[in-house]
Amino acid sequence: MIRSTVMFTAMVAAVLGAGPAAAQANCTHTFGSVMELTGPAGRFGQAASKSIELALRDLNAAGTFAGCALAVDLRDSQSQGTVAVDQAKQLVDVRRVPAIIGGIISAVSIPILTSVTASAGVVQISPASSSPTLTQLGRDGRSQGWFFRTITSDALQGVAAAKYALDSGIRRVSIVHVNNDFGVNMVREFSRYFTALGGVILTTVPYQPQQASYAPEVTRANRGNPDALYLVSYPGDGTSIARTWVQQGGVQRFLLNDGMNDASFIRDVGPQFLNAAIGTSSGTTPTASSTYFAEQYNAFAGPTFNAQAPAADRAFDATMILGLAIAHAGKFEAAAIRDSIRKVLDPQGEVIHAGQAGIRKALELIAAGKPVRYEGVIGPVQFDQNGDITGPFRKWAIRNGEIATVGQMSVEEVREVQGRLR
Amino acid sequence: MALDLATYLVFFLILALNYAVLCLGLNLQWGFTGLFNVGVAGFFAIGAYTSAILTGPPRPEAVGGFDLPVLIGWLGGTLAAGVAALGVGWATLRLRHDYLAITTFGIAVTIQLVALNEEWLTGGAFGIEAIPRPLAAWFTSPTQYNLFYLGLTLALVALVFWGLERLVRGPWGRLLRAIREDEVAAASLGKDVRTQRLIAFALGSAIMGLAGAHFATFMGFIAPESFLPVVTFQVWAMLILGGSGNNRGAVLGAILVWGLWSVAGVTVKALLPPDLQVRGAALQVVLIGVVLAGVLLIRPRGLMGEERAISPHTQATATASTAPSSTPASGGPDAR
Repeated sequence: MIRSTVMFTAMVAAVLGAGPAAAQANCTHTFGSVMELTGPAGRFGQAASKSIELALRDLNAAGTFAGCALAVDLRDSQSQGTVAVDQAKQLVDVRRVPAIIGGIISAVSIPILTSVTASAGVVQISPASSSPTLTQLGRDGRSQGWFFRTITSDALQGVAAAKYALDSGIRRVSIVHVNNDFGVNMVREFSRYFTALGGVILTTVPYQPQQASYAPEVTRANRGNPDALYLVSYPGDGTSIARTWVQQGGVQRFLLNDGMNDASFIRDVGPQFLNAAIGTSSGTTPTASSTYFAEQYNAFAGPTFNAQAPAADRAFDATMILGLAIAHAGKFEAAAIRDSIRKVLDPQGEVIHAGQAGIRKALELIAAGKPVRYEGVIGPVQFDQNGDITGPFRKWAIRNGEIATVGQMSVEEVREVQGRLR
Repeated sequence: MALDLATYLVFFLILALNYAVLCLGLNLQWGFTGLFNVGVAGFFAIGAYTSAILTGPPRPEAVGGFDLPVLIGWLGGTLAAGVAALGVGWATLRLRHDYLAITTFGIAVTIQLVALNEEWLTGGAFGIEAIPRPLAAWFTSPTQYNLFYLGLTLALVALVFWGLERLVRGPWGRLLRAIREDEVAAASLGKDVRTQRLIAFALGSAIMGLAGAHFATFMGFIAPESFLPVVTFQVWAMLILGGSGNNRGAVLGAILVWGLWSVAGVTVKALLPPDLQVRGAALQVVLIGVVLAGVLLIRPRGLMGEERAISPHTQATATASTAPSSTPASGGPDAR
């Protein structure tokens, strides 16, 4: 027993102390990342981590940041809050990182924020946690300005989806949604505006993820002749729900959420059943950044990771924004990085797109003291005082198995709808 | 660097000792009484939610947030889990071994689903946030506070440990072991086996509830995802590795296995080339499994096996005739 304790202590010391070997000629600034690489949210975290690597490749190829190259110390949260805070605490206390990208699910992001980053004064950027609790933490002053997220609030997307559905002639919907904070909140916001704008919701059926069959849920939802099914889900579960819906003779018209504009979803459900499927995503009509990301991601990460996976694009933007903020701050310190994050999204700044040429241009502008505006894969966004982003939505439709962007809804339009009903 | 490591170790120990409390609760049930409870996460959740509701700030859209002192929250969490276990135990404890395991597993999943769906009570998928920490205003730096909380945690573990040791070393502990080894024999001696099993189950689960309350207070935020079955399996791994039937083993197992969880990721990372890191994360689960299996191959009864249970009256003669550690005791739970 004594021997094992000694061995364990040695192991801890060896492992905690071991960093990546320092580059000979240059220095390296290492920031942290806590991602769900395994566990229920594993595939989202894996896709997001590949995006971080892709962004780092571009950043490091284009220049130096506060005098050094950038690197990430990537940790696995195992989709478990306790493991996540332990890993985040290691990064902050032992590796001394000034910034952490992470938390896919809220049960990981919120504990990291409340027990590690906010009290230690470390920047945290989540690419995927959409829980309204995080906004509340910002409003209450408990995130103390250290938290940012590159995912649009569900509240805004719910409004956009409600408006888009009604404009497309959908008046009566049945809803099937994933029973987690994302699904519940999205449906709540959607329902409020959809009914207020004159729509009718026939049934709302929550489902548990990763079940073998969704026949009971679909049977419950498919009553009373809805115009369409509003499916708030992810590819995977969503595929099997849509298939079951079609098999049970449900109307072949779908309203889908961000993340369901996915090639594997369309292929596995069958494009012939999805010709009246529409949906919303955060972001704009394709831009130089989104085209670049779509091209580069698969070539870089390989076919097993999916560029359309939820969180992939946002983790890429989170890393780009962090990198540019480090350059803008001129030093690798938490407070300076936090203050610079909003400055690299300056609405008055010159527009910068993803890719090495864009980063070089941004670095030149920053060096010259000129404002820059990074317009990433998710479009032109701004952080508000709670660290939430506001940005436009893209309206899309599936036609002959392809996703076609049919229009855009600006933040002003969404706010206008919200304001009308208050 | 040394100071940084110390700050981290304080944090690490708080979480590890939280698992130790869970592990002590399970040890009473499995290690001493032979109750195959695979619903640890459920009772952990009941304790956490009860404490969070009792101590949290008022929530407009749900029951509670009663703003009560943390101590009351912890007692409430303990009591709620104990009462829930009385109900569950009353209905299920006639079941043996694997059947009890399946039932308790189902109950834990049910509790988690209730937490996910009953928004008026548990906050549903959004969980409960802003759970207050005791005396938080007295400390200026988070490190100081963690040090204080570690002291509180150590006192809690010591209290639970001392109480359990008193119980299991006394006549009641011998009765529980007798029930574990042979229920029919214990019953034939006039012992009320069912009641004793129920008491042990409720007491063990109450301790798990206390761990839950401690967890909720420290994390400040709980959500249904904090109580998935993986928690149960972690606690089982800790108890089996540490040595079931031995309270010191339960505490040691919790610290070592949580340590293994904590360093596995970094170890795997250090061994893998950079472009395989994302995919290779799954290897840490393999690493954890291999280490656990390896330890059990070398020490089949855990790092600290069960001590021989001998009445103090006969102990003098027994220790004179046999060396206590070299011969296997009259069967740990795994000997059945």
